[in-house]
Amino acid sequence: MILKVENVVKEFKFERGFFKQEAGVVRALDDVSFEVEEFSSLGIVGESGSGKTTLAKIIMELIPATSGKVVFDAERITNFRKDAQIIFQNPYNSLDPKMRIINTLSEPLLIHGIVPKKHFRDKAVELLRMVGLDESLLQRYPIEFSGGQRQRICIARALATEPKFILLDEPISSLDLTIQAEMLDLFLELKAKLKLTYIFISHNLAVIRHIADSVIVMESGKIVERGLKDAIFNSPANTYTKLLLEAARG
Amino acid sequence: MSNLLEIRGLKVNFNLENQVVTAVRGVDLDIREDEVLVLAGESGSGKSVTALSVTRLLPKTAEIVSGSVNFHWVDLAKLDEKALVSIRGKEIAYIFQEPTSYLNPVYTIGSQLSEAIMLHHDKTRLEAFKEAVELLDLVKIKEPKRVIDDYPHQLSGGMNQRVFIAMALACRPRLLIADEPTTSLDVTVEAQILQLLMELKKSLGFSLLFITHNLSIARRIADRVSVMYKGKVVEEGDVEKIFGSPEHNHTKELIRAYEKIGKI
Ligand SMILES: Nc1ncnc2c1ncn2[C@@H]1O[C@H](COP(=O)(O)OP(=O)(O)O)[C@@H](O)[C@H]1O
Ligand SMILES: Nc1ncnc2c1ncn2[C@@H]1O[C@H](COP(=O)(O)OP(=O)(O)O)[C@@H](O)[C@H]1O
Ligand SMILES: [Mg+2]
Ligand SMILES: [Mg+2]
Repeated sequence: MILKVENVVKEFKFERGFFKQEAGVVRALDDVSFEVEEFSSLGIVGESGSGKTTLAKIIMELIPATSGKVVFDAERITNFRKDAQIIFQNPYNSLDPKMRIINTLSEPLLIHGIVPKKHFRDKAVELLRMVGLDESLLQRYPIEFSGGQRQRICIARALATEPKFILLDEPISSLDLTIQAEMLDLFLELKAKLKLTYIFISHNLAVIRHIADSVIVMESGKIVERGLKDAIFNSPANTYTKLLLEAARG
Repeated sequence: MSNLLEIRGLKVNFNLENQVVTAVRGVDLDIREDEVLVLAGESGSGKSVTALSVTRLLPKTAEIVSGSVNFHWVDLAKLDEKALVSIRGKEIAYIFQEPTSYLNPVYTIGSQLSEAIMLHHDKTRLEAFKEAVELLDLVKIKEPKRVIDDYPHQLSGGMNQRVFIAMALACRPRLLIADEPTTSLDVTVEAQILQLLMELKKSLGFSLLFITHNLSIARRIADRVSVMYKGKVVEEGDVEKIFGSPEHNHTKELIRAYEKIGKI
């Protein structure tokens, strides 16, 4: 086990109406618990608003939980900011438009002292190759790239710190289906080659089917079904899971 | 079946500061009466530019260099702006990916819908409001009388897309052009919207041009499929032919992606 999520609850305060006459809390996560095994890949599905991104942010310590906790195995994740990385859905606003690719990739190398400064360029080239890009792109800016290329650069940046765990929040949802298929292969290849552990969030069950070993289904902040991939796909118990499968069958 | 729309040799350039970009390089496209044509292809292949060229809704930097767009034997490419206004919305209507960026955030659903109705029909505000409620009912919005007083931000993405569809169909167009209207929706909601469009097409009778990068949509709704690649239509045919014996490499690529992650 590399990661344990224990009874996590997250509430957001909200106000509504011109005079803020309505106020209250939304419970975005309601008592969520699960474990992730090392070298495995956990798929999380659920429709928008079900709490997936909120959960991702809590796991990555980007926002605090209202109650409950997230525990990483201290023997495996020794330096959290280095060993655990996140990749977001939108490759368009997750890269600094004013930074050349070489600098985007060098930044984490410098912060975490991955290699000496004189090797930054070599390492950056190695990272680009790993994600299927050419070194000729090093001096270019994000604006010159397509969505798929940008997401590859985001992956290269995440890999720069030599992480053990990567949380992917709908990493391919905004891309063309053909590019999604390519990226999926890349994620599988990297996982095997670099011995990674994944949490992979997606609303597409066909994607989850390729990448996950086990699956969690979320609805309105709650886990409504969980199990090994084959069990979920072959004999779903929950009505909502069945609905998702139905929609994906077309 | 006769053709409702015939595009021939359409070429569109973007005249940018220091270069000319050709976005569409000689597109031929037929849409028949009462059919669903899915226009598929990767991003940047020219699908949206083609669709917007039909009624010249293109940005100012764009220029239709050549080509004809025959709609009912009228070449829209030759019509002036004033004549086109009577076609847009009334005969040919559009829906897009992000309904909220086309709906006005500060007006209620009811006032926007009735505005659209009054634009093309000689109706009083009260009559238009009544029809707005009927339109919401048509697109299967429950409690239309309540939703009519809501603002776009109070509705979910799927609900807003239904409102957008209602608005597009207000004037009973003969052609509905749907440019990736379900791309940013959840799969369950996408399935509902596709079903709704098919039901509306059946009851109201219009032709549908549906643009997507995802062939699973073609599998679900298309009569025929046209595949665009780098500014050209590279393959077209009945849905069975496209899936059964695709010829162009890009079609094959789209099908491979569909087989892998477009369905389970
Ligand atoms: N910063 C926030 N303030 C208030 N509500 C929020 C905030 N972030 C998320 N929420 C609410 O929490 C719920 C879950 O959102 P999210 O985690 O983004 O879902 P998902 O990623 O599954 O689409 C939603 O109802 C959303 O409106
Ligand atoms: N506003 C614009 N300015 C310059 N070029 C554009 C603009 N819009 C589109 N293009 C060009 O036209 C091509 C086709 O774009 P588009 O029709 O939007 O593709 P699709 O809808 O298939 O993704 C793109 O490759 C792009 O280079
Ligand atoms: Mg999310
Ligand atoms: Mg487009």
